[in-house]
Amino acid sequence: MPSPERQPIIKVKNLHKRFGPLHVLKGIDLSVQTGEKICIVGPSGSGKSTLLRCINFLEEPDEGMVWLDGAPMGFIEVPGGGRRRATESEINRLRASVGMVFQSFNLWGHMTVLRNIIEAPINVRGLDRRTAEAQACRLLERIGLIEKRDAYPSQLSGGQQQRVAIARALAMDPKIMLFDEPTSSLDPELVGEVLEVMRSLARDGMTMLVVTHEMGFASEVADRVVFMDHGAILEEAAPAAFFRAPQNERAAQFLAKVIRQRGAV
Amino acid sequence: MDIELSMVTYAMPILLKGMANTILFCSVSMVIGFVLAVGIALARFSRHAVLRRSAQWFVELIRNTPFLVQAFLVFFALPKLGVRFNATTAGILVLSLYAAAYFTESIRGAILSVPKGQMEAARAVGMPYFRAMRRIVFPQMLGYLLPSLTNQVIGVIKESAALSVISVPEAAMAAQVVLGVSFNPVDTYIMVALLYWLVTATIAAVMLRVERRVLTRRPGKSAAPVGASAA
Amino acid sequence: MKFDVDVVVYALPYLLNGAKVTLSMSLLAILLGVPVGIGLFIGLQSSGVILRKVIGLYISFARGTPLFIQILIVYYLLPSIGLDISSYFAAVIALSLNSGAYISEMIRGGLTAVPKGQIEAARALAMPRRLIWRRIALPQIFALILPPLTVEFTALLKASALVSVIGVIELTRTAQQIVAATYRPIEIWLVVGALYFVMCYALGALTRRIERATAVYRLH
Repeated sequence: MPSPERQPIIKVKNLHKRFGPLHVLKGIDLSVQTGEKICIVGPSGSGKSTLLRCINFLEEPDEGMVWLDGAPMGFIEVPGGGRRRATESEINRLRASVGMVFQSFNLWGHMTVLRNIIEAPINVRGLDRRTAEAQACRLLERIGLIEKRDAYPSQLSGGQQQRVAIARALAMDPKIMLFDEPTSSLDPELVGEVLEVMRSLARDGMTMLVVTHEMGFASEVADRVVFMDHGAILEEAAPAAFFRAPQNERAAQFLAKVIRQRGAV
Repeated sequence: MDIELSMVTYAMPILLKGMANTILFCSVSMVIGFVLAVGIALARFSRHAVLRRSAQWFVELIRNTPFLVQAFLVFFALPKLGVRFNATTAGILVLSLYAAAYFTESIRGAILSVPKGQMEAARAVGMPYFRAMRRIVFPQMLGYLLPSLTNQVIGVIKESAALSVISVPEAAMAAQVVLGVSFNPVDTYIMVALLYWLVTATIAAVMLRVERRVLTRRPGKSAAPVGASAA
Repeated sequence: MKFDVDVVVYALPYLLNGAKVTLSMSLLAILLGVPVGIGLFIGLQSSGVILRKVIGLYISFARGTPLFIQILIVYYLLPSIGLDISSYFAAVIALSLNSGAYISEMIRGGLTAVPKGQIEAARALAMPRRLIWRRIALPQIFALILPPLTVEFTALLKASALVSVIGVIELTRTAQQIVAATYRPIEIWLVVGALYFVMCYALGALTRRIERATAVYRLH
């Protein structure tokens, strides 16, 4: 259950992003409390991924702001109004507390599973090798892949790679975890093992923002479902309300199409 | 180092004639080489181990030794065994063998690039072997063959310059003739280089056009690496 | 027509010395060719249109003209611009300038082969750009470039035979001198061919070994 804090851990205000002539984010406002699980759903091209990537500044918004636990992300307000772009180290300082899991896993192919997980804690958080390795092993045990610690990513299945990717993100001890369609690239029989890790993460109280097409997972885990289409948030509701009786018409159309394709939620 | 115009007007005809020789020379060698290459490629796929191994060894020998050494072997060593060639014949012989060894790799790659299912499907509808090869396999091979072969052709033309060392009358040799009269090596060799460059660049450009025409007409499925990355 | 083994025994030490020169020259050429290739590649990324065009022309020239002619041009060009160096170094320069053109293409191939997603993941993990370059990009580029580099080295070994014409005492030139002295071209050239073959074939095997070893680093 989300803890009622006054300051949201993520605050997004009037976010706009254009790619050339394409207006991908049209004034997004969003507030996430600590410990909340938000699932973002919607058709392709609705800007869901872009929103996620603006939150950890992998994409630079054209207008609007993101605050992480009160601290502005990517921009520094200058006295006299206006803002300047933050330096790389200022950005990275905030990024360290946001973990991200990608659709294509993005494990580093030339490093073993263990090295993948300890690389950032050692080089960014300054952990010593022994501590980092111990932590990595704990994480690997938790996701059930401890025996693969010396394997290379190319030797793992997609589901295993994604679980390692989650462990790699968790090794940085983040306050927030972003998931960008984490199961979309997986063969159907491998989706379950990844969702299980995400469920356990949710149970432990992690703040999670998940872009997904897995409606079952959303209805089970989410505190709030956010529906996006064409760059705008059209509906925000608790999963029970959203899936049973969506208020927005396009949301209803989207759900109808998805349920027809995948079976009941 | 300014290029004197008089020297250029004197040298150009000689160099052009040399380049014409090079083109003629290389063309003959490459035709012979291509025919040999097809034979060698077929031998590589043969069921008889002797044929396969000999073909493999021939290719490995040519590809792992310098062209110049091959030329010396033919031009200086062979006469001792009683076989005497003049420079031109020796040159064509060596260049043909060289071309054959390199072309055959392109041909082999092209044959292997066509999925086996294609031939099987053709046979399944009752097409005889050779017609299947001609109408189904060969056209798809072109997608791989054309760019790969273009690269090799350019390689052969560049390599042919080494034959000037055994006095074969071609472009690089013509440069030496010019040098004999007006000792201006830098300008002369640069002019020759520019002529070679013209030839190879033209071949690359023409083949690019041909590839685009030939390859886009096909129901585009195969992973044809369009565009010779040469010159 | 008997195969004269004695002349082979006599010639072998000289030939092996020549082979040493061939190897050292080719090694030097490729070691110099790498920075040349890097420089050319960086130049191609620049915003200056003229620079990009010039480099493009240079690469096209190096790849579209015979190495034989390039060697002769460099050999005669250097003294005329005041650089009076030995034919050995003139040869090394010509070979490395030529290699550099091919290596710049390899670098481009290696760079584009590193999956962008891996870089993004590193950014998301708050890794600074220099660290990403050093720990993620560079090692993978290196692994990708190693096989084509050894292939290029093999090509240099074979091309080095051409520098015999400018008087560098490498394997081919040594052989020419011995043949002139002993009048036994068959034995000498066969042995020389065998020496080159052994070197190149061994390098080919090394290339294949490297490819197998780095295969595990490649995803998909």
